[in-house]
Amino acid sequence: MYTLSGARTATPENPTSEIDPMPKSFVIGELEQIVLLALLRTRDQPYARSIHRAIAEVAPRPVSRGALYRTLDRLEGKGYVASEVEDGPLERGGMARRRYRATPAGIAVLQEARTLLRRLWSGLDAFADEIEAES
Amino acid sequence: MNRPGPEPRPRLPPRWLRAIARLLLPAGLGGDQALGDLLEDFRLRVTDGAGSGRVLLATSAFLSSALALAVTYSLPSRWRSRRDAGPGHAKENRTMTLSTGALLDLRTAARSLRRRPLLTAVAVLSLAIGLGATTAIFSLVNVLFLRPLPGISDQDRVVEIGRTRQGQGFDSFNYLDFRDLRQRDGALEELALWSSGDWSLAAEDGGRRMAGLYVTPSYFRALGVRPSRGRLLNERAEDELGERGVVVLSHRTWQSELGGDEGVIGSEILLNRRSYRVVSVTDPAFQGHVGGVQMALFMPMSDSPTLESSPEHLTDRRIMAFNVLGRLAPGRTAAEAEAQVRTVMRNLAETYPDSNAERGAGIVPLGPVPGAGRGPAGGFMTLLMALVVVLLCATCANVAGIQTARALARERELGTRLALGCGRGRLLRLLMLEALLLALAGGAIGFALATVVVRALDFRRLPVPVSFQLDLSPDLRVFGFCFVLALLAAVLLGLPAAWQASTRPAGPALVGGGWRAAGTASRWRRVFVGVQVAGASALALVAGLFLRSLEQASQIQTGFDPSGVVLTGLDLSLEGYEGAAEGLPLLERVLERVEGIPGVERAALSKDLPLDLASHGTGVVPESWDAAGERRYFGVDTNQVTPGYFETLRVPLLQGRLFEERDREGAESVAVVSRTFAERWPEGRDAVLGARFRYGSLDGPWVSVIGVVEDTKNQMLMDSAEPFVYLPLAQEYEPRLTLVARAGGEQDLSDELRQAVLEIDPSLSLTPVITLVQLTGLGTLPQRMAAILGAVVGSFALLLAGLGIYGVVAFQVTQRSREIGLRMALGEVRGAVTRRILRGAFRLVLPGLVVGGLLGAGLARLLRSLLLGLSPLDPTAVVAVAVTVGALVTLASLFPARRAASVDPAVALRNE
Repeated sequence: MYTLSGARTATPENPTSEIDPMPKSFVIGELEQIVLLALLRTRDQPYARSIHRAIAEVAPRPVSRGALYRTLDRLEGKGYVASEVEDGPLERGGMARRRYRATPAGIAVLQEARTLLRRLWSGLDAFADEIEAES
Repeated sequence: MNRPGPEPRPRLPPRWLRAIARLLLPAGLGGDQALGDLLEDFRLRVTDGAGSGRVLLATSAFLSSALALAVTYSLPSRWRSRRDAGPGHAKENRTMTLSTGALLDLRTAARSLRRRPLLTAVAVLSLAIGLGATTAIFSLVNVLFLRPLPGISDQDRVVEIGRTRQGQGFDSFNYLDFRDLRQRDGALEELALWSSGDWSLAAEDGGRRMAGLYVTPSYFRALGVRPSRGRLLNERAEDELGERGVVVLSHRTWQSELGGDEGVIGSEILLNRRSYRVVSVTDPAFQGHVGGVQMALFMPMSDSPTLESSPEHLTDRRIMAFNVLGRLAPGRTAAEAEAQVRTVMRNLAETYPDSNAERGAGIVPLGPVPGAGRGPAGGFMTLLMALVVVLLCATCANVAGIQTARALARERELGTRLALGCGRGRLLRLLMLEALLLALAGGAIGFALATVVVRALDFRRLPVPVSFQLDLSPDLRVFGFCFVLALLAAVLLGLPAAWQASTRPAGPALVGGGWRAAGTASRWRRVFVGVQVAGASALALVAGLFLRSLEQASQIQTGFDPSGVVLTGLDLSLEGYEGAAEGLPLLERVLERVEGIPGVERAALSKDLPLDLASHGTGVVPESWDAAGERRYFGVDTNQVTPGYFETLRVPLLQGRLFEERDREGAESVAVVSRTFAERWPEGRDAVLGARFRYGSLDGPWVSVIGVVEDTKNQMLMDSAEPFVYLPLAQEYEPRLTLVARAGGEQDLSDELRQAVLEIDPSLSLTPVITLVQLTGLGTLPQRMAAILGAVVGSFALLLAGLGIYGVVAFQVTQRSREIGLRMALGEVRGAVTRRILRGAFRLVLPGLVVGGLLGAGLARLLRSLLLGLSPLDPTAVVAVAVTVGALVTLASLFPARRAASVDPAVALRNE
């Protein structure tokens, strides 16, 4: 899997790259991106379980619960996600849960990733159609 | 039984399970959140799932998710926190090393299993088969002996009381003895009588046969049963037998037969053509106190037809007709109750020595199998359990063999670990964890297998008249059993490998000489293969013996031809036809109508059928004995039949004539007798035709013999031929009959037969139509069950043993490749190499084969009553098993042997 850090496309072996080196804040992994996007889709139930379900609905391969928790912790460490602790209802045995939200920095980093992808794809429409036709 | 409490609480896994899960998750908020999510998943699975297994499924999903999180969440976050904390924090983390180490080892163990998927799959599957079979049999034991009966409160306080004779047995009771027991206050607060009964419920589309109980009102109090509607039975002033003319319906009967009519209480229903007032419907859970038998209704003992026709049941201490249940008083034990009951019985024996001498009483706690049947049922289940435990041992030996091989193959890795400072305890833990993972995976699959297999057992198809339905879905007890068994298996199969690896010095493994040089490993493997072969051949022998006994059974001359005969039962005494005067004309019309069905060759009615496990005996007095004044009987079995009986069952006539229409009431009393009867006739076989005997008693009516027919097996296949007397039904009336009809072709006559009878009287209640082959098959049911079980279990065991032999031989061949190469370089031919390896394999297997043969014969000896006279060392079966195991050994060792022989000597020598 490639990352969207941009570093790979701007290696010394590929000096012709037109892409500028990315700012530090832009470093975000694919899984992190998926989790952030899934978080944005679960507006009324922004809890880990719902995010997991949202990913399962659209993602091509399953993401384990453990990986999700780890990613959420990491995103929180990077400041892309913030959370508040809530008391759990009876059906979860009173266990606390975290209500997540994406921070402005998180949304900005997603935006940047999207822009990068757009730029990478621009001018490749014919190729994109070809891929689509093949699949 | 699951009544909602005052406050509905969401269903959660048990506290201890939650505690385990919490331990597996990281400390702090993250772990709390993860556990909460798991609990939500659990609840959702329980509320959305279908079927009674959903709690189990949810529980296992909960546990496996927690385990997965331990690896995918707890471990990485611990590493992360340690890395972030830096070296200065190492000391603080020391408390965590034990669990972290265990988790790490778990990960390592899982990885090492994944690296060899084929070996792992074989190990897991073998364990699944062994654990699954044991669990399946245990779930039967659970249902038959351990699981509480539904709808009974405080079942541990309910006991069954049975009469013993010289301290043996568990039989029915006498009414007066019961009353004496009841008068004693003390350890028992309630005592109740019950006896079984059957009824015909009048319905629009023909009568319905129902099984139920005659009970005293105290029956419901003793069991703590509550009514869901109405009130249960009332006592009457004169005795404890209960008011008359009323009936209590089971919830199921109320639903299925009366459509759940809310106005049922106080309404009248027709049972056996008499009107009874419904006073109550029982709690929906309650089905009676006999496991699997769904009692349709409960009637006061005072209405029992036995008491009506022979009131001496209540006054004669010699007549035993009742079963007794009791409830222990609060705080009293069954032992106290037993002592009290025994004292009463001892006093009775002194007071009434004529009737009560040698009579005692025993107490057993109430269970699904009634006290009287617990011995035989327990015996059969013990034997089944023994079979599957042998299988389980064989599978454990197989997997232990695989594990030892795996440890050997990894000697370099393990040696490196040791050399780098891994403690021996740690190494042991690693290997035990591998075994544990294998066993748990095998246990999980085995549990699923057992669930499927046990569900597939369908007791409803047994041709018995009662509604019989066992809830065989596994419960937590079965799950726990399977789990503990898996842990045990893990210890059994992990210890040898772990021990062997952890007691070896580290050096040689690294240098390359390896641990192979120390011969212990191969000795262990020889032992494992020996155990496997022993287990497999024991099971194969048991299967072989039962197959042989079935084969022998099929060759036994039964004296009749059951194929193509269908039958149904009817009881005119339940239908309001009084005596022969009303019954016979109806039966004649029924027969006429049935013989008019296209395709029916012949039909008949009879009281008894051959090979139906029942018999009716009496005595006859030959004329010569009567004339000589000898007061003794000639013991015979009897049956009452209509004229078509012998043709319908194709019982050959040997002499004289069969019954005809003229042999009826008012004509001369006649009998047809069996070959053995004729042979044992005092004046000899030739004198029997036309001879006379008194029937039934010393001054019974005179009956003349008009014909002799072939012997038939009356009760069971192993019966020796006994004298048998047939009487015409028209002369010796009997209301409880079986209608048999022979079809000319292959067609299924079940529906036609039923319709034809109901056309004559639509309110008759018939037992389900079955074939005579089915009925007589009941006699060999245990043999068939044991043969099928033995064959299935034995084939698995043989397969596993084959794999084990293959493994050992292949390993030996690899080990000896240098030697083989050298021999071949020196001129030994390939054939000789192959032969030598085969010889080695047979030497390896022989002790196991002998031990297995003896073990199998021992098992078979325990089962001898089922072997139909076959010797436990039946030569055919023994030879067949030896040949099968021989073929297996050849097959399993031929491939490695040939591979060894095809090796280029130069390559083999160079590789070393």
